[in-house]
This record gives sequence, C-alpha cells and structure tokens, in this order.
Amino acid sequence: MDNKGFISIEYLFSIFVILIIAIPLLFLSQSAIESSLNMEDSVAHRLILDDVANSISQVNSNGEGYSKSIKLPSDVGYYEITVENNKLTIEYGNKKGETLLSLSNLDSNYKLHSGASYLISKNNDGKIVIS
Amino acid sequence: MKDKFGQISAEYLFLAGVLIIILMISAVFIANEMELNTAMDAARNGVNEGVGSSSVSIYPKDTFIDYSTSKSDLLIPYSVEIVNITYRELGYDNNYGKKKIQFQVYATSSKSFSKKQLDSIGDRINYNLRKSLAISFNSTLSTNKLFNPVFSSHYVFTTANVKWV
Repeated sequence: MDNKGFISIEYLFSIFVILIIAIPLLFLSQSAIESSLNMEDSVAHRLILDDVANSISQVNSNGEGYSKSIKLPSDVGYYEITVENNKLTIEYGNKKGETLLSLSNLDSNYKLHSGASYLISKNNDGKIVIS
Repeated sequence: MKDKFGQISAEYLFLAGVLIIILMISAVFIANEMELNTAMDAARNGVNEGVGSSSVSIYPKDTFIDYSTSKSDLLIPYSVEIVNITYRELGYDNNYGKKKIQFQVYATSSKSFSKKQLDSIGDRINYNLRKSLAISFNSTLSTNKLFNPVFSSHYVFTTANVKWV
C-alpha cells in the first residue's frame, strides 16, 4: 500500500497555507489587471484622437492643395470619431472623449471609423475635406 | 519492522502542536491585518485608475454628457497628483455587524478648478477606489451601483470627500 501515491502531511499542510494566502491575492490581482487594461484602452483611444487632431491641424496649417492620408488603427476594437469645426469626439463601447480643434473652414462634419483609411486635404477654396 | 516506518520524535510533535496552537490564535489577527493591507493595496489601485482617467479625459458616456453641459474643463486632459491615502476606523457598525473603515484621499491638481469641478474629480477618484475594493474582496454583488459602502469579511468601507491640498 505504501508504494502507491502517498503524500506527506507537511506537503498537504503547506499547500493549504499557500492556498489560504493566494486566494485573496487572486482577486486583488484581478482588480489590478482590470484597472490597467482599462487605462491602457483609454490611453490608446486618446492617442488615436490626438493623432487625428494633429493631422487635421497639420493640413490646415499648410497651403491649398496639401493633403495627408491617415489610417485609423483597428487593433483596439471598433470606435467612431466625429469631426466638427471646434472639436473631435471619439466614441467606443460605453466611453467618450474629446479634443478641442479650432477650425473655421471644415467642409462639413465627418464621421470616421476604425480600420478605415482617409485622405485629409485642403482644397482650392481653402476648405478642409476628408475623403 | 515497525521502526522503519514514519518515526517522529515526541519533541517534534510537541513543538508542532504548540506552533499550530499559536498559529490558530494569531490567525484571527493576521487575517484582519491582511484584510486591511489588501484594502489599502486595492484602494491605491483604484485611486490610480481614477487619476489616470483624468489624465486621458475619456469617460463613460453619461459622465461625458454631464461634464460637457456644465464642466467642460474636465474634458481636456489635466493632471491630478495623489498626496496621500489614509484610512481610519470609525468603530463597530451595528447595522452590518462589521467594523467601519473610512478612506481619505489627499490630492492636488495642476489646474485651478471650481469647487464643483473638484468635487466631480474627487467623486470619480472615490468611485474607482470603492470599485477596486469591491472587486478585490469579490463583493460586487452585495453592494450598490456606486459601490457605496463596500464590504469585506470583517469590514465595511466608505470614502470621505477628497481633500484638495
């Protein structure tokens, strides 16, 4: 009988103690991981929003006929960016953020979607067009 | 023959017995202390998330709508620094049958905000603090939507308004 799978009481006892210590820490780690993922997600979307705003400002500060193409990343899930004369708004999941923009020559309001490519250009009338 | 198997000295057994008794007596204190340490860790995590959401200014939709009508300054990224996080015991709560602990966050902001705006920032920091506590103690089901108050096995946690220094 002694040959078949016996385990020492010390080993069982230490496993028991480790489990008692580890289980509460598991929930704590879950909370920490969840909050860092949330933060990572928010920062990624903020960077995308600021990047688009910079591209639009760059086109605006150049002369007529200047254009720049952008590709919105799709690796952070689906999102939608609304471009208006005075602000850019990003929406994803249940979250929303905005950045200010001071344009007076936007052709019309635009909605940009994740994963798509766009060409931001300044036409001959000095208007910003996104296509 | 018998001497070959599992011999253990009486001294060792006695020592192990005494250690187990000491361990069992101190387990209650250790568990309580560990719970408070976990709570402090969780509170720090939550506060960091609350502060982080200020520096990226990306909010849940209903908060965003609320801010865009009256507190538009909060929609632009700004910096909030945490000076200190403390807690104090407020005695035994007879309603819940647990000890009451109140967290207090001290913070400072890089920008000058109105009282209402500071209250909103503070509320979000406290909300994230309580949320983190609820997840860490696996008690999200026993609390309300605002995670106020949050429960652990031996404590009930609340938050005081953030103090701006």
